[in-house]
Amino acid sequence: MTQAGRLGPLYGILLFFILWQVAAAFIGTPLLFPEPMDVMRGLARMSETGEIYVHLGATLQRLLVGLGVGIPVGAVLGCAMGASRDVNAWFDPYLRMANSTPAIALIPFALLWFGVTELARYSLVFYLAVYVLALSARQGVAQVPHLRIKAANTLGVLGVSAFFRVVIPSSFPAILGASGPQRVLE
Amino acid sequence: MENDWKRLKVTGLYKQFSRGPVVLSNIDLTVDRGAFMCILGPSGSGKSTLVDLIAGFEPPTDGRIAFDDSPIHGPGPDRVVIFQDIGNALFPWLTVLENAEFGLKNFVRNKNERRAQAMEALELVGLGNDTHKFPSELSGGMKQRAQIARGLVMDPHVLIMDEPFAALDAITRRRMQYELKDLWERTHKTVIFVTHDITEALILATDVTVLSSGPEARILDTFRPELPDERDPADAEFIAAYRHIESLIGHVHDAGDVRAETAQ
Repeated sequence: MTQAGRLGPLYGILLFFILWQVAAAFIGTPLLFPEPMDVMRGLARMSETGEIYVHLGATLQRLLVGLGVGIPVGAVLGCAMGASRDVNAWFDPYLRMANSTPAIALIPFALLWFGVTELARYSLVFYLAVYVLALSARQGVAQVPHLRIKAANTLGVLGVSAFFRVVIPSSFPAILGASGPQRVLE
Repeated sequence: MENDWKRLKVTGLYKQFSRGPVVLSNIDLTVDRGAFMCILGPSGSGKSTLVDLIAGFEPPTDGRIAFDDSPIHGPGPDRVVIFQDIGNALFPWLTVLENAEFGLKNFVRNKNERRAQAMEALELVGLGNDTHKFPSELSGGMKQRAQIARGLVMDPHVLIMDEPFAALDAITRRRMQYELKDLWERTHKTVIFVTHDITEALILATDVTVLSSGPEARILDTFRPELPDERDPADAEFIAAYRHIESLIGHVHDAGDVRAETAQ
């Protein structure tokens, strides 16, 4: 691969705006597909009035609540599934279902069950966070080298204690790094 | 843990993994307190299985492992294992010092006391100046020294070393062998040292046990090599002991060849 240079990403963004402009001109219906400059002007206007911060705040709050509850629940569930074959057997079918059901497909159900409420939005973020975290935590725990557990055991650190002192720290990078939060935010 | 034990006794040990081949067959072994017992065997002779049994990671199918008359139960810090896999044996998220302290947490309440004991063990293996490094910053030889310190700090009855130097380069391996011998002479800790390297065994051992190749590995011979304290692989006695072991292991290979030929 040749060096991309520091300006590499900018060219990509520039290309995006050009395509956007061309597409807008081609479609010709600003209400459905506004030009990039119109959007920029809208953004500036909302920033001036402060309206944008209200919306940003609301979105941020949904993410914080949904992730704040979903990440710990998913991480604990995944760790338990990675550690115990029984727990894994109980929850694996739900995880498989969730993995093949995009959150977008659940929006109608969330609206039906909870109405157009914040709860509906929290629940969707929560759902996404739980299963993504559970998947990566389970994998992280299952991939801990068995030798590390043996090393803890021979030093007298057994069972639950070995789980918290060796398995969890060992799988921490996998739980947090590999595919966790990034995938949730996508 | 009783502290006035005299010997570790393995009697009639037999191991078969569920429906698999018999790995170990009728193993009798006595390790006196203070001995340096080398268990020699070709690859696939069940050496690691024997380690797993004595360490308590695996239950025997039959037979008994006991300090004098009190049988062992599961893994525990009275039989600390030093592993061969230098990449995974230490906890990579802990410093050398924290690794050495790891097992003490359950037994020593006082944090300063823990630190002092871990420091003492690390200085004993020559890592006194590397206590704040992480395992990834250590050479292979230093990693094994750190692992030995982490084991020694538990003051185990027996230190079980499972081919601890096999992953090191030849020069480091030889240096580690003499360092370990020096360490043993200073501490007289009982050691069970598993290896397939005859020279290594004869440099270190007070007692040698030779296993046959598996499956159904059994003990071919147990003996005390009559060698001076300073072991020199070029000595006539050393070479004689080497030949003796080679003939033991070679004899089994010959028998196998004969069987293979007659079968054709």
